[in-house]
Amino acid sequence: MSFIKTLIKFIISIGLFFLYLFYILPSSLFKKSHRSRQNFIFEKRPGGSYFFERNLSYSKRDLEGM
Amino acid sequence: MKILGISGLYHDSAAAILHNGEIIAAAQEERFTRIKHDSNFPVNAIDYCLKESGFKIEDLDAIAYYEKPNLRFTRFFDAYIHYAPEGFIPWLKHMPTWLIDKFFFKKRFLSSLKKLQNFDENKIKILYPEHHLSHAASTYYPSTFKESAILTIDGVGEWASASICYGKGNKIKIIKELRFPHSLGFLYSSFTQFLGFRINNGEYKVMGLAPYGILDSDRVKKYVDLIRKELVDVAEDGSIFLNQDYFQYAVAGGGMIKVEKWEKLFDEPMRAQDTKLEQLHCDLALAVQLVTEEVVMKMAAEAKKLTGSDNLCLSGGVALNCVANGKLLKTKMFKNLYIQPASGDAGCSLGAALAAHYIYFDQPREDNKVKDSMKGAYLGPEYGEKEIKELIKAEGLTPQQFTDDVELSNHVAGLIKNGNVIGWYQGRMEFGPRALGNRSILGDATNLEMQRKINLKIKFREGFRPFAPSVLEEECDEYFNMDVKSPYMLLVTDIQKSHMKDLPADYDDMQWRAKLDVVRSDIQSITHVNFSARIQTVTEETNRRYHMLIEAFKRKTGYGLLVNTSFNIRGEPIVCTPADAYRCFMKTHMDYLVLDNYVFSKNEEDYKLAMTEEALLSKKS
Repeated sequence: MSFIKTLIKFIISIGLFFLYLFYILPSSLFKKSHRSRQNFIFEKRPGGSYFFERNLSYSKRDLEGM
Repeated sequence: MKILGISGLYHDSAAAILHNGEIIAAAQEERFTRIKHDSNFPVNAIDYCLKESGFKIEDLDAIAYYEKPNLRFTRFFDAYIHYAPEGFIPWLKHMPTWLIDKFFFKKRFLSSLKKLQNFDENKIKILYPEHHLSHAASTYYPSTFKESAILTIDGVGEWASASICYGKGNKIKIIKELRFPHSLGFLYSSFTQFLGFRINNGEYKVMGLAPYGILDSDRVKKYVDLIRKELVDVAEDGSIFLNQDYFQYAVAGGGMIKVEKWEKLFDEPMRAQDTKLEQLHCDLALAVQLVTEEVVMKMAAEAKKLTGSDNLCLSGGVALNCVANGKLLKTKMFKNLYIQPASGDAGCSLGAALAAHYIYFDQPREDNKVKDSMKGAYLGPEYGEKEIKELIKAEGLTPQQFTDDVELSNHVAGLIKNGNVIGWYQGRMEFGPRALGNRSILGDATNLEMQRKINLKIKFREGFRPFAPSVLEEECDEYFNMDVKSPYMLLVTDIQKSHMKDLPADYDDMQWRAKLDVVRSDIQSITHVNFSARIQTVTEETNRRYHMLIEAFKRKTGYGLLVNTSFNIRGEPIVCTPADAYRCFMKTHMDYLVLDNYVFSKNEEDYKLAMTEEALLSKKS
């Protein structure tokens, strides 16, 4: 069982290596303006706010998905 | 409606169970496994909750897990895109495990539960409230408020690191949230690392160290300026932006901070663990504490502005910062303040279950609650006569047994008066990080040597750390400058002037450790160097036997308060069973152990023998 686990991990690692090379790295280089990346860049907003608006009243549906 | 709540797999795993909205049981996994902050699937805590409630897994209407695992995964992914190529090694190291966790989460979750009991997994409904909804629900629903602003602040959940919500009736609305990587909890943990303490464990130490800092000194002002200028931008509404050039927690591995950059910024090396603490460390601790308080005040003010409520419910790891809580209370910004006693992630198990009950199943919330529904936080397991007798037999002990609670109280109060330190073990275990009189080490607050004795000879922890008092609720304003109840030891306030002693003229210029030796009050052992104390108010209603003990102590000494610290030693969780309590008792210089109505004593020979056995055992292992 542990051999199968190790084998799966190894296969995933190879896949992840290529994912990193062909997706993560290019995304990092060419998508500097990507919305999710703005969170990481230090830009002060004098007089502004760093909060994200949600305005969501939680309902049954919000507890369902993972 | 029967709901099981589960939190964990990162740190402080826990479980809680509800029946028709009533909290039946809640406990942290660490107490059973004896691994501090245990992050494993809380199989023992779940087992206890099921046994306490009498439910089987197949009886449950739902199981609520405290966050959304897939949403958390998107955060990891975005972080790696941003940090590439910096995060390449951690990516290859951690991502396979995370991917397996993501795709097989539900399967592993169910198979862990099946180790306890067999059940038809198709009949079990699993719900996933957001992490900060779990925090918000854990504090709002147990509170007495019909409506309330809710503020949750911690390290991070899925994406959110803080949220401002509004609760009304059985509904919770999230208004705003702060998102990763900007996190007040992580800022505090970063300083915890820089000051040489363990992350997720040493934050209390930073808080305890801060009062040794010199408030108006140039160094503290310089540090505050540096933090504000280089590390964090604090907006007027309390939202913050952490300069990621100085942090590395966004991609796994290697701690919170970029050490070299921090050392250059503060012009000081990072303190290595267990090396000598200097004044500058105290000043750094004070600086981050001041910035933390500023952010908490501003976030609370924003919550007030957005909701208009007179009530505030607090939760999340930062809500365990009792000093900030005490200052928030003093501002009178809100008329009423409620803080969840298990504000860390363990409390999310309860919050997830409550969110499922009130939001998913749309159950009505009681309108006219007079008291909160936490039952004094005594929600853990209780071990009785049977287990104690087994221990007595197994160890061949000859304790003194009392059949009358008054006699027991008088006897133990006398022992405390004579300078003895008592391990006090009664009833159900507390849920959350505080010992509230059922798993506590007790001593005389007026004894000048008590702080040093308990720190060094019993808890084996740093001598600078302060102790908290348990005070009779009706006597609280005699000793402390506080006019509200504090049953969960989550508020810090000053002691009354009438109890303070005059300080020497050179007090402020003294070496920081020397301040500990200065007599500051007639309740010295619970008076911190800045005259503050972290209060637990005790009532007969929530803990009759503990209240009776403090009353007996008052009759003997005139003082209606005791030193109360958690029943554990450094590096171990609070004791759970009578056997845990006995082991802890034998490994320390504690003088007496009270298990229910049995009083155990030991002499120096017993202690030496126990320590020799302990040494042999650890050698073998």
